[in-house]
Amino acid sequence: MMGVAGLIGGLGLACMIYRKTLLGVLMGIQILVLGATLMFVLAGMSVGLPSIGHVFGLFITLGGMAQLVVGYTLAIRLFFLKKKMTMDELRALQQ
Amino acid sequence: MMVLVFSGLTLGFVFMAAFVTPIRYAILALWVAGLGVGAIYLTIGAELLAIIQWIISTLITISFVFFSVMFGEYNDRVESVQTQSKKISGNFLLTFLSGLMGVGFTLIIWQGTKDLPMGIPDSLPQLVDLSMMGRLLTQENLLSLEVLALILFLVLLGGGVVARFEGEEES
Repeated sequence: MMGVAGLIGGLGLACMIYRKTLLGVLMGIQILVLGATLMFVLAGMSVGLPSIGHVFGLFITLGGMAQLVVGYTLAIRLFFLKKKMTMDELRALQQ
Repeated sequence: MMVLVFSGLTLGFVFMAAFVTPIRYAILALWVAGLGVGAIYLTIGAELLAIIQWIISTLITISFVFFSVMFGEYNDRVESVQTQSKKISGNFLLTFLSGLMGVGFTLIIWQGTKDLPMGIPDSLPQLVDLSMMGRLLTQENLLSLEVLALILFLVLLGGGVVARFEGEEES
């Protein structure tokens, strides 16, 4: 089961590299967060402290929501400036 | 047994969400993958996390649909950055490289967790119920909870400030 969680995280990382648009990268980050949450819950269960793993999983899930909001904010800003959503255009936010 | 079935389904849909090109299928796959992870939680006795995961996955899916429609990506069959001439070879190379990075990341995770017991005990030594979770959150992890709440609040405020429209208002 740990391997499943690691594989989900690895696929999330692969998605972040493979996708070219900001929404695609955000999807990859969400998959990575899914894998990380599952990893902490399973680790808590396997060492006999499931409640600690649940608390960690809850915090990671809600932290993932926060980064998603930040990503959407950057996407809206980028769309205002460039009318495009590719990752290469993120440099425009430096201006 | 059910854990294995849900794990296989989840992995399949995560793979689809990571690599399928039309973003509407990827969003749908991401939603089903989130539901699958929630089902895994339900199977291993984490009911509260399962419910939270289902709710959050559904909300994330709806927001992805809204934003992809807003940005004009929802009906794109090919992502706009890829040119037709380099599409096939570039896609193959990028898929191979990203898959290699994913496998490497998985191996690092596997290396880091190999000291943990790999199996899930049949009878959990400590049942998790809502009252225990509530006590853990509000007594032992109160500072973490407050920091998380503050971060979420600041993220909402900052999002509103950064994403504001600065053009000339229509009279």
